[in-house]
Amino acid sequence: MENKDLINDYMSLKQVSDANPFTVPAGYFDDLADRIVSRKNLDELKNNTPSEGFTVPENYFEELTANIQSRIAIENAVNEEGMGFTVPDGYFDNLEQQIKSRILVEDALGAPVEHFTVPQDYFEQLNKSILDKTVKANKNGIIIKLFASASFKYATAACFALVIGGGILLNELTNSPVNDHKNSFLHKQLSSVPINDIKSYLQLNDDAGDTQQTVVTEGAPVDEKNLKNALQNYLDSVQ
Amino acid sequence: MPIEVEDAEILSKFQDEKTRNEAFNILLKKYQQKIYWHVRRMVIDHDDADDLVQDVFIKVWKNLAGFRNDAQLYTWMYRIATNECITFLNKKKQKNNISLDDVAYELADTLADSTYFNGDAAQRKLQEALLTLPEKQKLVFNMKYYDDMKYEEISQVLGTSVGALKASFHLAVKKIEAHLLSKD
Repeated sequence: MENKDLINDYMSLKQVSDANPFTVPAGYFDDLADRIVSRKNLDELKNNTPSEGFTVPENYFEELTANIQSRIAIENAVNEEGMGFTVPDGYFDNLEQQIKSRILVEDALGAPVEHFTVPQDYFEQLNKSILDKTVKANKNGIIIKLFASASFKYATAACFALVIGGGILLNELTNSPVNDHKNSFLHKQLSSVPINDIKSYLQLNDDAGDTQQTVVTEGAPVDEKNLKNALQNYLDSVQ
Repeated sequence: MPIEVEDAEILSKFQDEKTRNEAFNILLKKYQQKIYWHVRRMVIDHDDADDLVQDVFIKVWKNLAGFRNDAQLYTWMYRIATNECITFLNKKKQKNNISLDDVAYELADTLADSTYFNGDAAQRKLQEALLTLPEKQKLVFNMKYYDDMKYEEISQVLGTSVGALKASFHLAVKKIEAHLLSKD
């Protein structure tokens, strides 16, 4: 072949092996086709959907340049507004020292003291006198309240106290256990029960603990010396 | 193993929308290694070559429907790959604001540091010599020496006359020889 014949004239070149000295990662060509196809598909997708699915408002890009320029102008104007105010020369250079000096002076003088004074109880009376002269002022004459004096109020309070105290004392003196009982709910309920029924109930349901009370209720004399015989005699009499 | 399907059949399948993807897959399997090595010898670095190979086949996909059969399919793809390599190297030069010679020095450094080069010392010297050649001379040499392409096919790839290609190849070989001898 003409290619190789030419090489024969160049010994140094001919001595070099014509084998491919370059290598590739293992399995490179096994998946190269698939990778190219994938990339091809992605490329097609991109070309078929230039906006990548996203949309913008109508005339967005036509107005975008003007909008950006307007915003830049506005931001520049806003930043420049603060430049309209000025301060005296060296103001910020001395500001810190001035503040510190003032703090020292105020600390030395102590808490601020008001030098103006007012009459005693002035503020307590101020509100009242204003109202008297404005809202409460009456052209027909001065109105004096009948029951405004403090003495009358104390007298009234004392009367109430006497009445209430008297009532409590009276109640204490007239009250007795008997009256308490008469006023009790139990007494009122028992009053409506016939006395014979009460006797029958007691006789049927009494026990040793109730015997003395039953005997007291019956009014029978109690012979303390022969209590046992007396009790037996009594029981025999009621059976 | 490359798939042996005739280019005419691939083109025919590609014209039909239903079989277009299948045709493209066949095309990929058939030419991916050829295109890859053509690109790799130009840019040296595997990752750069990988990116460029994908770019080449994307362009093939986009333009294959308009292929006019006035050249062979693989020379047409070689042309796309060659243009991509030249564009890449020019961008490299512009990006780093360096001359084409400096680009060659950069590629030589890449070769020296490459983990995907297992040639012997002589082969390394040959590659270094190739990097000193102008890009078109290097392309001619690579397609002649490594791909064993005919001048007519190289002419279709580079758009240069056969006579000029022969002269270019001769010059390339002489320069390489001189370089190899000077290193000894």
